[in-house]
Amino acid sequence: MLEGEQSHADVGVSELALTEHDVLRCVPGLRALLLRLTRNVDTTNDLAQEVVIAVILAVRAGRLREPAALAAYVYQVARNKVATQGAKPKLALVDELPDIEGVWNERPLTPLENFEAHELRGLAMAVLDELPTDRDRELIIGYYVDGLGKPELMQKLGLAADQFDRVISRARGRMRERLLAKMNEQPGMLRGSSPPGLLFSKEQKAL
Amino acid sequence: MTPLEEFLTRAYLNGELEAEAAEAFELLLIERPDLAEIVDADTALQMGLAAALKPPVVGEEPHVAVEVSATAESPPAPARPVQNVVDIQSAPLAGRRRPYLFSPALAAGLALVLGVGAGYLARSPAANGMEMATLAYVDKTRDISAVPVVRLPAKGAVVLLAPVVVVDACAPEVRLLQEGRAPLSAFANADEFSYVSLVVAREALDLGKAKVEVRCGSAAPASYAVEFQAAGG
Repeated sequence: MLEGEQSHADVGVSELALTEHDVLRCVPGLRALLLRLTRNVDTTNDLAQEVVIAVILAVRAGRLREPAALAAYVYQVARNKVATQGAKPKLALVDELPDIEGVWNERPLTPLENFEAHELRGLAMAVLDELPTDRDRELIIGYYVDGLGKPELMQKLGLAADQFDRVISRARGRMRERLLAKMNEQPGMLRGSSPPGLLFSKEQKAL
Repeated sequence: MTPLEEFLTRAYLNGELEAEAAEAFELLLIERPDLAEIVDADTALQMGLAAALKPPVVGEEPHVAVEVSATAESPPAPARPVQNVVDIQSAPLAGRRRPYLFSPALAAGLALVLGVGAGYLARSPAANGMEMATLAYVDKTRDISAVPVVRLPAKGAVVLLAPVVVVDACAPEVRLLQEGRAPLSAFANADEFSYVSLVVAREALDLGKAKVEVRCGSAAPASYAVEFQAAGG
């Protein structure tokens, strides 16, 4: 547990107060959402930090107090940042900028945070190569590269829905494992986002 | 992760969820790092494979400026169901897809009247003092590089909910430019989510491409294209 952090289990509901570390716990989900929306790692990194700054400022200013409202607040700020990301940035005086560097450095790291594009290509191609059949590879390429839909691919390849889901799920699971393994190879990049209770069982890894 | 969560995650990643359900899932995603890992893996797989296998399209319209660094390395995402098209025809105000925007947007919509829409509403008061308006939501959040498609009813008042830029000490002027028509414009106060609500008569809008310009004095901090299509088309 981080310094200054209080377990929610130790206090009554009425005494719960949002902390900056609570905001950091949203970073993995926030980054996944931003990456989904932007499909750009660099933009995701920038926007994630902007969102966290905005939310921490709201917490510090007392505009956001309820832990139950945190996720919705983060979500709305994220959608807003994505919608206006091409906009001219608002100017701010230096002494108005929040000092969150120390807090930000304690955020949970996620696999894609420091990945280069060529590393992503390599991992994705490795996942593709290890699929057992040509049909599976054709399915993955049709789905992820050509943007074909599930019904179209099922018809084209003569697959049932559960077969389709199984191939896609296996590829997703393998990509997830490779991302985590790659990240944990790098010094200082040990993963800490998933609380132990939320880690996947063996059966769930292939979702 | 429960079987239901597994099902929902798969449906979300496959683009099979309705817009409201997708938003609910994304809210859950913020709180759940285990879901984030799966979503990240799916996105990374798509990005990596597309970058490795999809040839760049010559003459393709570039993405917005902030994406320049990535376009060299990763081509645009394939055409997954991005859910950036809203069927407005059957979506009265209470049934819109972003309920958390409802109250401020509606309040702003009542306070702000755009161009011809003002005359329309002034000329045609509803017999019972209230009139239905169709909400047209310009969704730039699902895919920032896509041209949002806004479906319009055949007639009546339209509340156009459009993103603008928050600029301090400036009530931005929002201009709607359509070829062959005089520009519509209004000074608008954005709500807390940086959206403005503009009321306009359907008759003042042509189907096809249009452009939204946001101006603050001589500066134009934002400009983007939209496409109006007939509802049900």
